[in-house]
Amino acid sequence: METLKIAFFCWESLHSSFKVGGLAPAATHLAEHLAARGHEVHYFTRGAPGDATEINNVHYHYCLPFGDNIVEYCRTMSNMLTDAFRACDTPAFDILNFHDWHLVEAMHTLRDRNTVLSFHSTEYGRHGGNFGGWWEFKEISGKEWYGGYIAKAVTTVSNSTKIEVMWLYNVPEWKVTVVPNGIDPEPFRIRVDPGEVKMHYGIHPLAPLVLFVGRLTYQKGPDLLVQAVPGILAKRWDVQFIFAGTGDMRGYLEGAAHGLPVQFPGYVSDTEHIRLLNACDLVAIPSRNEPFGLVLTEAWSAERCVVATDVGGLSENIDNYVNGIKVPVRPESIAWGIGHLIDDPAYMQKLGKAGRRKVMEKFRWDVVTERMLGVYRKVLSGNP
Amino acid sequence: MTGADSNPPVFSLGFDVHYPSQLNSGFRPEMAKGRRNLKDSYFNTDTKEDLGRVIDRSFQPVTEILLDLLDEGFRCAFGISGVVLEHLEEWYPDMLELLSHAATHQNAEVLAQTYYHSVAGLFVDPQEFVDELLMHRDLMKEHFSVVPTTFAHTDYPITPATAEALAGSGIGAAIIEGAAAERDPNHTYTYHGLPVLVTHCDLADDIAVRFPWREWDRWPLMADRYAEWISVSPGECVTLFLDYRIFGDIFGQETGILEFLRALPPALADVGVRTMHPSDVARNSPYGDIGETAGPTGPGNSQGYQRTILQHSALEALEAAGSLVADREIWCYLLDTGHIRRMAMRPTACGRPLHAVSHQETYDYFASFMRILSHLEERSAASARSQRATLSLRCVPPESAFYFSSYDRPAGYAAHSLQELANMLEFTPDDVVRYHVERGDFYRWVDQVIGDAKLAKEIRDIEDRTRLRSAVQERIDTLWKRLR
Repeated sequence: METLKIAFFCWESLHSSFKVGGLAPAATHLAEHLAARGHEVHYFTRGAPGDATEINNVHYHYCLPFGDNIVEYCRTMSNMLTDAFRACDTPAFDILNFHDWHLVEAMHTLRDRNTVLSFHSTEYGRHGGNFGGWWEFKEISGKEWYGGYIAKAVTTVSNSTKIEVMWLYNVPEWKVTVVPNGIDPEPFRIRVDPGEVKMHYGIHPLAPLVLFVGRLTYQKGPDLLVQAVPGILAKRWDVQFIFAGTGDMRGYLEGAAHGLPVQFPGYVSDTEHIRLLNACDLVAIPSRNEPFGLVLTEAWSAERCVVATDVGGLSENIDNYVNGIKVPVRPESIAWGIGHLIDDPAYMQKLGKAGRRKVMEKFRWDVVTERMLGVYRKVLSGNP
Repeated sequence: MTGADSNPPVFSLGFDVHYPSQLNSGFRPEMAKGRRNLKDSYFNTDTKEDLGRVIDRSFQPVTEILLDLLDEGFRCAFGISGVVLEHLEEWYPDMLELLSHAATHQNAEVLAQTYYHSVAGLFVDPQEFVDELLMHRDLMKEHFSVVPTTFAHTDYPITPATAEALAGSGIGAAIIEGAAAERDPNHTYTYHGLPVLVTHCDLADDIAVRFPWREWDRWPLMADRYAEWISVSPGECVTLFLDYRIFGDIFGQETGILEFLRALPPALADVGVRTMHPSDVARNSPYGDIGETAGPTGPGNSQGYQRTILQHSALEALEAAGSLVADREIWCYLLDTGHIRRMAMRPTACGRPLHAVSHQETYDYFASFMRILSHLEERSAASARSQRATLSLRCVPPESAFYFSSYDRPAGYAAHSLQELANMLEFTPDDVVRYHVERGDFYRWVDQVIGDAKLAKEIRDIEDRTRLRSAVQERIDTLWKRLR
């Protein structure tokens, strides 16, 4: 197969000074795996002047945008990155892959090229499946619609996001392909003594530990889990909870969890995150809306079993009672799911192992990169 | 090596013949005031009658059935605990005679056990485990003139220490539990050089748990169908180790379990499954070694078997009590695996009767157990070398335990002895320590509950966690020295 010259447009990357959320690792790893297969990958993103320009064979092109609000900020970013793109467009790029709405204006300028728009989430989904009445919401939703309209192909991270995009923005079905987020499972499985890690957090080494990882925001539903805690304790008194991450709901949650065995260590480093993941007994994912749910594949990579809400990517990737338990988006149901598993270490281990097998089959980067290349080839062949 | 076109596996069946000691769950210290015979206050007093009932319902009919089957060439094994043998010898010699007919039958094998069917294998110090192993061996020699070579004890996972102790006591193989193990049970393995057989939990629980369930989609289970399941199992062997009382006592005769047992050997023969002694099966060349795959060995992670906090507290207290109590016999009865098992949140069956548990029952059982253990230690203080030291080192029941807490929430654990306090201070968060120091809790608990005025005075002004911990630990070490 011939090698492609691919441009990535994404407002954050793993190696620059700007790293906000889950978009950075998803896009960066994909770029690196494409480069590893011999393709020439240029990554257009934000970055400070000192940031490295070539990492793992991916060429980075940076800009430093400005603006009074997020929409304006993205407009200047689009303009700067379009210039950067043109500067290295000889020989011409084969594929232009845009990630999320931020650079749709650059896409507009380059709309005659082979463009692919990857939806990692939608504005509607980021607000927990609600419409916002404020102007940014409308502006961003409009950009998402337009991006889906002009792109030659659209990818989404899950089937539910695909349906969401089709429903919200009238993108035709033939145009959308599901390309899940990949994962490299190896770093997530480490050998730690769970008792030791628990003791580090002041938890009895034999107490069962339920872990929540993610931003403490409405979309991720940490409040649902906090409300579920009393119900879980009624079934088993010694369960402990750790909410790793931070977000706008933290203050509220800390108040709501007063008197409950819940800890908020705040933002945890990657190594600590992996230690916690391997020490906990169960991972809870109580999201209200989840386009893909990277926490799920991370938990599975560490052979942990999950109790997750029956939404979005979680719903379609978890096989109920095979590699996790899916529950409705209600505190009582989450409590039931956790209570059902927490007494039975052998069963939890079994579910966790099954999850890991699923990761190896479906979510390794090799598999995912191949799927994305399939989309590129379809665009290049001219009959999507 | 998968079954389809190879020979059916061989079948080795072992019976766990034991009568567990029953705690007097309503025990209160007031009840034992002025009484010399503590055993009657700690344990149910109708053991003799109850055992008689079990014999009538289960031991006798089952043994008679098995004697017939053994005559017909069926092979099985018996693990007979020292406790039950003692009882039989004292109260029901006829039953003992019947049992020895079965045990000394040429087609039967006698298995090695711990004398008291005890949890000693979980202790840090393997001495008690070895002692009981040898006691049991002597007993078997005395009654049945055999020296058992295969150990069967499946209530807790095998550890490198117990494997070593077993090998050192002349044991050639062990039967271990397959529940949590992520390995195929139908093979022989080695564990730290010791050949092991793994019990097949699913097949065991078909009998021990599901047999009488009418809502089970395989009900009623017939011997020929069960034999067929065994015959199509992949691998070389199927090993089961079943509680003797399941046949007739746990599941009454009306469930048909005795007919099932009677019909099993011919059904096995029909499908070409041979029965073998565990010690013979263990001579197969091992399929693999399981020592290496055991994963990280923390207290919370031994092959999926997770101890609860209550079990952990009870086990620690139990081991310490071994050096404190005057009446070793009572202590040994407290070692019975049934007690620790009753503190589990979810008992794994694997050939043992399943008992329903709720959080409350588990906790109540733990509370009675600790009350009895604590009382036993207090009573032992009078005759100890140092009464003061014994009292300070004793454990206390949950109503007197030290519950850790911070300003806004309980920390989720409690110390039931000075040693446990020291252990927990290792990981107690600083805000919890600060909270208790400010309220003077440590000082008051040591002074008024444990009754160690000297230590209380020492720690009164200590605010730092590590210093607090080393002060307590030093005191514990001194106290132990006084007792030696």
